[in-house]
Amino acid sequence: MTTHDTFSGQNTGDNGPSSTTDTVRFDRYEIVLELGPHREFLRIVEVRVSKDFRSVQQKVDSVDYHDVSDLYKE
Amino acid sequence: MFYESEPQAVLRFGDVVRGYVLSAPQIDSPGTSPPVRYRVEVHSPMFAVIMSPCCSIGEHTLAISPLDEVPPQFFRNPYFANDLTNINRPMSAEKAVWPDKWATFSSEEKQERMAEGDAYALVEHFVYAPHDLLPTYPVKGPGGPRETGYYTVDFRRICRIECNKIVKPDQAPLETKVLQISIETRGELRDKLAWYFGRTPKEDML
Repeated sequence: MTTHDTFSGQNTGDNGPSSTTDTVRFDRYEIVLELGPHREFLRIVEVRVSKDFRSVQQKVDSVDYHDVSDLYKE
Repeated sequence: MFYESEPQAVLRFGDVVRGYVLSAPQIDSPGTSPPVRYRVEVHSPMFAVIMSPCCSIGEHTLAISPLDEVPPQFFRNPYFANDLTNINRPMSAEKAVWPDKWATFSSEEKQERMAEGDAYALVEHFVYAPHDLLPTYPVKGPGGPRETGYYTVDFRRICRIECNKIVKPDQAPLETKVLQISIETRGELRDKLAWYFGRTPKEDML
């Protein structure tokens, strides 16, 4: 049985690699970072173009809704 | 990945938190100033979700919403029952209802509904996936009783709390933080919440 550290993700007894990746959005790019056990920056893994170029307003305007809420009421 | 495997030591939009008290005024006679009859009900949900945008967390104020058990009716739809977080994303009209219900619609109604394209259903809800830190509970679905670990945020139940310990996202009671959702999930929550408040009612469309 192991205990779990909520903020580091390390389990007692774990000996595996401690680095993780995190994705940061910058303008129209997504930057994948490798982070150390204390979330310190290690290196840039990948820079890619975000495939979703829509603004929040464009997303709102482009989506409608299905009027089904009443069907799910008791 | 619904949750971040390594939560940050800051409060963020979409975080699951605990230890907060929520209140909702119940006004029996609105229209007079002050109202003659009202009461304030206070409750402390087991879990709540931060609904303030990350950059707006601070100045002793936080918008949160209780994390509620999922209504059992949601399990009528096998597309939802298979993964209730499907409710968080736009879907076809056929997937928005269960097959027996879809079969009752006329061909014209089916065509009308399908013409909407992919769209949100159950617009007030954003479902949180099961996690070891969220206890399961029994629900009575069409296939009989079952245990589930899904929870939902109802955008209609967002309320404001004040807490002197909340100064900035990283100067806040971090001990209240239970789970952090992933960047992708936070994007979905942001999109659906923005859509919920930002949609133009049909009667206002020119």
